Amino acid sequence: MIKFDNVSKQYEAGRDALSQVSFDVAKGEMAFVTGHSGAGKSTLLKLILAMERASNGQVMVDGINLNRLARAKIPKHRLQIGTVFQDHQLLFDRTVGDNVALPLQIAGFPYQDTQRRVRAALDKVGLLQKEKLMPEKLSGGEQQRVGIARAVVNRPRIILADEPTGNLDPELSNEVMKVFQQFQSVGVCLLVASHDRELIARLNCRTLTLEQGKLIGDG
Amino acid sequence: MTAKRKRTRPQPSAGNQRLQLHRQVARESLQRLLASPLSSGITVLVIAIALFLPALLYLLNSNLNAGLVGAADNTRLTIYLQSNISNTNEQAVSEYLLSKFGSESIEYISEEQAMESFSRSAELGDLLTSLPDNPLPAAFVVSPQLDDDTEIENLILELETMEGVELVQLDRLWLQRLQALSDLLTLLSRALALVVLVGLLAIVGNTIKLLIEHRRQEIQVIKLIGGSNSYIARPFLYTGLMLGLTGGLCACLLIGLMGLNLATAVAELSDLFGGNWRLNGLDALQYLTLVLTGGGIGWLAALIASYRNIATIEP
Ligand SMILES: Nc1ncnc2c1ncn2[C@@H]1O[C@H](COP(=O)(O)OP(=O)(O)OP(=O)(O)O)[C@@H](O)[C@H]1O
Ligand SMILES: [Mg+2]
Repeated sequence: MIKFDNVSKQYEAGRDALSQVSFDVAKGEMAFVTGHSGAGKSTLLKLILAMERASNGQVMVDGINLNRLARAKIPKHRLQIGTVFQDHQLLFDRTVGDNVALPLQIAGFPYQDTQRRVRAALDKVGLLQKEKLMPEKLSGGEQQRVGIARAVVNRPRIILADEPTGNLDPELSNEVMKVFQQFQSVGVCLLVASHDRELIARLNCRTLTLEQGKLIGDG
Repeated sequence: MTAKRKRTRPQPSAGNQRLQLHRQVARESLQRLLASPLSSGITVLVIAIALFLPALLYLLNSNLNAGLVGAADNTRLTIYLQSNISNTNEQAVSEYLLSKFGSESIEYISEEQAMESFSRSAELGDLLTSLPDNPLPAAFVVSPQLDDDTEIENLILELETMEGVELVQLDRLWLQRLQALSDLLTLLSRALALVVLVGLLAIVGNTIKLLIEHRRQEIQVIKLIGGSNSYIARPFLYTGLMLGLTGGLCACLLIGLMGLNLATAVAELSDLFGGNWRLNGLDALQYLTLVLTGGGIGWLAALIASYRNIATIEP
């Protein structure tokens, strides 16, 4: 589903944020991406989202070579990926419910359907009673969970999560991971960037380890 | 993906759903407009005034034209005779005219008749009657049914060379001058309309551009999630449309108010000159055109501004 083939990324000349990374994540598979701060985890996810382009090598997503993806096709590509951003990326001028509804609105879902799915997604992250609140009234962890609800509401084929449990206590982290595993069990491909070693160890998942842009461990 | 999971896909073909979505977007963009009432109000006012000016010019011109059409039917040729014209010469002129026109379209106005009608119709009458001699000449008045201008000009040349003819005057001359003025007005209103179009596109476009800039961060987030440029542009198009339509409505209001005030003034003026000109306002269709023109310009401006500014915002 997601395939990196000898991928390098340089933001500025001479320094690789990613260097010659190759791996392959199948559908129905969940993998962690770990490594120190600045190792290139976010960069890896940005390449999959076509926010950045690889300097070298090929990124394939669902059989599509992102190097050759036309700009006009990027929105459709992103719509089938649910993403939890490291910095949440919520819209602060609309309610929690409307934030979560955004991917459905973009995809053109009918209103009733949208409402139903938004509540289901908020329920999964334990925020159903905050649907009508504005995001700024929420704590950091709650905002993060809104981001998670938004990422899964569209039932995407791929879920990317950048430090989804960064602001959460172990109990909530486990809840979120359970949601992720539910999606994994129905065939969704998940890539989760995290440096929460305990969590990774507990889940016993495949782990891609980055160090200064190089993939030094896969297993 | 797995066949187990049933996917409910959106069905954009259902017109009802689409309508619902559009209504939602429209409501949203209206809320945004009302959120900054001052800048929206100023933009609407600018649109209203900019549309009002060419519309007013058009209105004046169409009134002028309506008057011209009425007047063109009664072109009159007046042949003023010298006061000392001999009977034979007068006879010659009369016969010449009879050879060209039927007797029913020729009228002879003697010096006394001219004096009489003049003293009746104008205040100059008193002055004239106090003069020792009648200064008014006798005249033939002809209503030629000639459409060809050169034919009339030939006729005038012929008459002017005849013995005892003082002056041949074609009433059409001032008609032609008015016609030229009207043509100029038409040209002017077209030029003005063009200037207004370009100016409004720039002004409304700039308003929309500012709105887009204001929502830069939001646009970035929507793009991250998969919103296309046209999805992002949609509410801005509605905004442009609403600004334009409201501006057009205000322009109609201005025209209407102006018409009310002008109508009485024109009627008074016309009565003073013994005419029966009345100011015609715009009809319903023209009002509608004005509103829709405003809407169209607003929409177009938003379209241009959107495609120039949204594509450059990258997450
Ligand atoms: N837009 C950018 N321009 C220039 N350099 C960048 C940019 N984004 C990231 N980098 C550099 O690329 C390297 C990898 O960054 P990245 O954000 O992928 O790290 P990360 O593993 O996600 O770190 P963290 O755990 O702190 O989020 C860093 O050295 C960073 O300085
Ligand atoms: Mg990061």
